[in-house]
Amino acid sequence: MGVSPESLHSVPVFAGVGGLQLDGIAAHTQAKTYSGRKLIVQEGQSCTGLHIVVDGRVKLFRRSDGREQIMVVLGRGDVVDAAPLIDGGQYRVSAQALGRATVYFIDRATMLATIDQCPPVREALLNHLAERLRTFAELASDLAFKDTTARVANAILVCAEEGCHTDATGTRLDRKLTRQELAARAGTVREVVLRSLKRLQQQGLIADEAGQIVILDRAGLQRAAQGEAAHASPASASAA
Amino acid sequence: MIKIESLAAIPFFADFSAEELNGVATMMTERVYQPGEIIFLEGQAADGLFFVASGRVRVFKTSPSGKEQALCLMTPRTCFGGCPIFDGNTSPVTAQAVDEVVAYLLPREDAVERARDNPALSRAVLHIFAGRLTHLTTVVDGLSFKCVTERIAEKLLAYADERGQATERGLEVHLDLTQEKLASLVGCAREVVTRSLLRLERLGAIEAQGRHIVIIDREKLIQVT
Repeated sequence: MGVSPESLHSVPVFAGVGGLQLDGIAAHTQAKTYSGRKLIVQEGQSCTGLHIVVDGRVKLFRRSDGREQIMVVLGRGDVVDAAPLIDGGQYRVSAQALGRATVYFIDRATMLATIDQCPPVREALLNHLAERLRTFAELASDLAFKDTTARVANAILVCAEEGCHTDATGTRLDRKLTRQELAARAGTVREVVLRSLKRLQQQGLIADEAGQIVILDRAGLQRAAQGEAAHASPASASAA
Repeated sequence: MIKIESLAAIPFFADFSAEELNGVATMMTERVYQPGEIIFLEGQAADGLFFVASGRVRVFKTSPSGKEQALCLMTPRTCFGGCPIFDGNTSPVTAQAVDEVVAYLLPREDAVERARDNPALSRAVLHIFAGRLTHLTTVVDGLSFKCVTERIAEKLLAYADERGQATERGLEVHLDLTQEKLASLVGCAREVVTRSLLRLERLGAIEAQGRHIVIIDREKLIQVT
């Protein structure tokens, strides 16, 4: 148990903490590595502490009737779900590593004491929750206003931001993106994703190389991602 | 100055000492908004933390073409407007007065400064944010997991509970919303609302005439949701 104070300090939530206080928290911090199906936290369970991603990617999602909605994909330094830590409730979301991920875990009692005694941590958590609120509000408006093709285009762009490399053909995502994951990110089902992918291919924006998505026209894909449900049906100007 | 008693009635200030309350009260100003008046706009810099003294406030997002998606309805003694203050960005949403609204405003700089040296305030904001996050996950659920007809049935039931009138034909609900507004509340196009209402009618759950809707079979409507 315990991580080095230096590595804890590199996490934004604890960037403003130093000295003995930092040492104390570091001693109570566990580094855990996750891969595959095991959940980091599960929606509906009571909160045991705070999880912070230090390596890899973690998806936050909710599930209903066998369908999954990815709320956000977290990277280095991101907090998993701090809300139940604050109000004593349950996790609002489940968290699962995409591939392999390492998270720091700090138990609830240590975190609550830290929140009490440590203004910079309070400030960092305020900042974190405000940003998360903004992300969720954005997701709500995407789901409300954008048609599925725009949401699929957006999901591909977000994945590209998470890791990609460019060659002569276009931009290749580092990670293979399954149709299932695309559907969960875009808030729809697989069949609809397939239709949207076909449409984006017809518009010359992406190519599908044996299941791997290659972005051919990034600017065009960005325009497609802005598309609004009401006037999205006729192929957009970028189709040519 | 804002009366201490009015602040003390707001749950946000439950853990404040009399001294802390006094301090906050001296920084606050009272604002009055007419029905329909915009309190702040999405994309604008934030004025500060708002507390509703009376009236209701609609919080929503707007699409580039002007469609609206409701996120929450703020009622008296609730707090809103905190997000942009604490992530240093512009406001992610628009807030609009539904009724005549009286609100107390804690200006941005004061809120930030107070949050730094007053643990009660930063803890209260953390609580507000945690609650709002829960609410937003349910909004996202509603948009993502439920089909439009389900969402409309849910909205109709909510309206019926609030202001439905029992008549011999059933529970009469007068929607003071256009289909356009209903569409924005459930997150879809107006045509889809029309089609969904028709579907509910064919199911024998409702009878719809413009904004006037009679819930004939409440059980059926509940089954849809």
